[in-house]
Amino acid sequence: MKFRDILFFLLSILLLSSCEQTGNSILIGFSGQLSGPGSTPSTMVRNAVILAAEQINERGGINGRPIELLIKNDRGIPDQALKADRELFAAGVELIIGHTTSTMSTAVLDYINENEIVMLSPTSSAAYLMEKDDYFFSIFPSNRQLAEASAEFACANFEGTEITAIVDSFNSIYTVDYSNHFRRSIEAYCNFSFARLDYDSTMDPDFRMLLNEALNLDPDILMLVSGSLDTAMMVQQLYKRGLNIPVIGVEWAENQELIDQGGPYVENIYISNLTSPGIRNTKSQKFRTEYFQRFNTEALSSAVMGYEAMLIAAEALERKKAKQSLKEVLLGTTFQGLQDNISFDAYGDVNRRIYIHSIREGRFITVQSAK
Amino acid sequence: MKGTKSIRRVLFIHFTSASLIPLLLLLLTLTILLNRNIRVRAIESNEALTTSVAREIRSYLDYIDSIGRWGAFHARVHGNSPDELQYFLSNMSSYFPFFESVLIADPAGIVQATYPADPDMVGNNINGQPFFQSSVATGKVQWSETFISTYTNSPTLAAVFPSGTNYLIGYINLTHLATIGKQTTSAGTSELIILDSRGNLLVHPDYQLVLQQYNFSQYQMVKDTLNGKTGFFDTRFEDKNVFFTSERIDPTGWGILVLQEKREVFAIAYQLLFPVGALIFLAAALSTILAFFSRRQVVRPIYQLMKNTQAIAEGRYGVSSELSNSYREMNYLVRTISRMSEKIARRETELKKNLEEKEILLKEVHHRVKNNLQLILSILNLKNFSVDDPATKAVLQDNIGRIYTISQVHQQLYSSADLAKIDIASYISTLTAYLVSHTSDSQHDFRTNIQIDDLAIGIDQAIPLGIIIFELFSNSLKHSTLSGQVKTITVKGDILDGEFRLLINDDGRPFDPSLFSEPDSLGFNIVHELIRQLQGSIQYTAAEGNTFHIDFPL
Repeated sequence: MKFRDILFFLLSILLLSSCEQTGNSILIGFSGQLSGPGSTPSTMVRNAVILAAEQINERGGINGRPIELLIKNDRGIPDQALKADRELFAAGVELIIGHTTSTMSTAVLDYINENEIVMLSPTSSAAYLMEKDDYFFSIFPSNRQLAEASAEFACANFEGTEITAIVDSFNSIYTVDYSNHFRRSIEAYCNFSFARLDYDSTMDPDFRMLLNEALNLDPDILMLVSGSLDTAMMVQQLYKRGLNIPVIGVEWAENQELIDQGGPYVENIYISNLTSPGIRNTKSQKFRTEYFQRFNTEALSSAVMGYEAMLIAAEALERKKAKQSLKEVLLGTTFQGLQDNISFDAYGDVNRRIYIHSIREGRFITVQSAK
Repeated sequence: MKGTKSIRRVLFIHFTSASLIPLLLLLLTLTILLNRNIRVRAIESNEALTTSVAREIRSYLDYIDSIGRWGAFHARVHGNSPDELQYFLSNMSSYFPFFESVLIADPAGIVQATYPADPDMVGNNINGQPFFQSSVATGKVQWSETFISTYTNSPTLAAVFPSGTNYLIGYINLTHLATIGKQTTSAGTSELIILDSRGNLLVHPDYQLVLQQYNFSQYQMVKDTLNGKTGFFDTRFEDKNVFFTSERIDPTGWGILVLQEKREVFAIAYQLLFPVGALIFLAAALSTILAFFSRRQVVRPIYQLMKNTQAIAEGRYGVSSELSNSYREMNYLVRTISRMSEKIARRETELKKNLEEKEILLKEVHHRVKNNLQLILSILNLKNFSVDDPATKAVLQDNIGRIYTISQVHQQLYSSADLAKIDIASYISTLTAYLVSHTSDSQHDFRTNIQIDDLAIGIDQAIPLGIIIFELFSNSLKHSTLSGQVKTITVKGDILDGEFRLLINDDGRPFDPSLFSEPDSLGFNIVHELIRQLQGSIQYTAAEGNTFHIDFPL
């Protein structure tokens, strides 16, 4: 070996060692409320998104490229939600999975449409977000569908003429919209008389007073459009009064906290939701097992949504061809969910089977397949 | 020149190696020793820190446990009415402001009293809480899983203490753990991570991750720690290379990880090694530059020396006896070569002079030999005129021709610049011209064809060759004169494969080959004898006239 060969060899090693490896990962953003009151469902969504990304990466990623998740906390504050999405957009994410509440999704809607960022929400369902040809996609049915299912169930199963709804105005885009759809449906289906009481969960509400006010209207059915802890506390008030009246809840409240904090009367709650805890198909069961192994906690409905959102995002990115937009792929593909097939209509909204859940012996169960 | 080493390159490599290798070895040794030392210290400090944090947290949990048990015991004896229980909780909390909130519930889970007082809460049923159910079922103190409290937005732990027929439930804000972590790790580069039994973060340098309930059980080290496999590890964690020591805390099943990022651990080594490395690099650069200039200093005089010897080799002896900016040893060498060159020049001059003198002498000898032979020729010619007998005349004529042939060799030798060799083409042309002019019949018409390659040969070969040509050529001339049949005599000479080939041909009537092979004439006998002397061969061919092929080595 000549002297110049040795010199070249040493220089090559020096140059190679100074080179940094460039990553070829696919950036996917997640944005949701991960802290503060009511953040538990969102953290469950986040966990499921992480699990799905880990599993996809173990299988070789998307077309050989690993997924790199960028996770942002919108803290349930619209400005923070916008800031989070701006940061994700600046980082160059392919799409954003989120937000986890309708209010936050609404807050960023203009921004994502202006910048043509595909947003795939696992749990947003406000009607305002639906039926628009835009970059917002939701794998969750609209409030209208969910409220109609609940109303139909109430009409079919409960007697009476009065229904009173207690609505958390903190997440008003979702809650008010939900209660309005419920009202229209219940009035149409069985001619119930509907009354609504609003409160703000961030203003340290007095649930005893709130329940007194609601009960003064002598309802035959109580509707609680609130998060899990508030719902649990209000059910506890019914329990203390010995009033075993049926309660219609919303999927926002459906998590372990409701069971833990709600006491025995949570078994009077009926919630329309997308997943069916009773379904024990292979994929669904496998996911629940893997989720438990990874996080040592039960996978509830929001976890299923998060998992499906990540799977859909990955499949869409995998199918996407050059010169094809992600939006086109999402609109033109039928995806396999854990329980059923998922396809989007022209507005990026889904029409999926809805189930009525309740709680028995400390677990959520499916009492009826509504639609 | 290929295959030989360059003194310049060897000097450069040796010089730089001699300076670089010790420096690099020094750097390597320093690096190894520093790394080993730092690693050992990191392990020791990490283990000490982990033990310390674990002890702190155990004390903390023991303290919670003892207060809870104390409270449960006193609540039992304090009374059982809601007011009495409420009063007791107020007193307890004022003495031990430790629990974020505390409540008493009956075995059915119905809340009897709370502190801080919360009328909303009293009467609630907490039987849905798994840790409460577990305590009721076992009658033992039970710890909950950690959770982010909706009220405090902090990681929280609940503990249930059986209190007679009731249960005292205390909620503990775990932000205190972060304080313990900060106190223990503030002095060094360590980071503290505490996880609950599911792998959820309770303490992390980034508190937001705690609030966002991040679960770290995807890391094998976390799984191992929570499963009781603890100790010191060197691994990757959160995209960093870390040293970590782990310990598991009972009864909660939490895991404690004390991490040190290796980059920070070895920062001091980098800080130390960087200037040392820079100095070594500088030294290496300087030694390389020095090696380069030293090489020039050493090699330049050698190059000058090479030029001097080259000049001497080419016969230019006037070389300088001094080198500019050179060394004593080199100058001595140059002076020696210079003296040697002067002596060679002197001897060469003397040799040339001697040679010239000898050449003059040799020329004179040749000249005198030729003159003497010429004198003999003149005498023989005079005799020839006086002899009438044709036979005698013929003998005289032949001998005159032979002597002429020899004298022409000497003539050519002293006339030419080279005293050792003669130009054979010129010699043969002169010889044949002489023979034609002295032997041929002027009435008979014929021609000669002489074609001889340029060749110079020595006197030892020139004289025999000349006499051979004389004998054969004059024989053809005689036949031409006698019979008139010979029209052309050809003499051709060329060189092939180191041999001189001569062809002598006439187009006269062929004679009996036996006359040549078994000669009784003097001429052919002389020819055979001279051929043998030349170590050559001769062949006669009687086809298309008479042809002689002669070959002899040069």
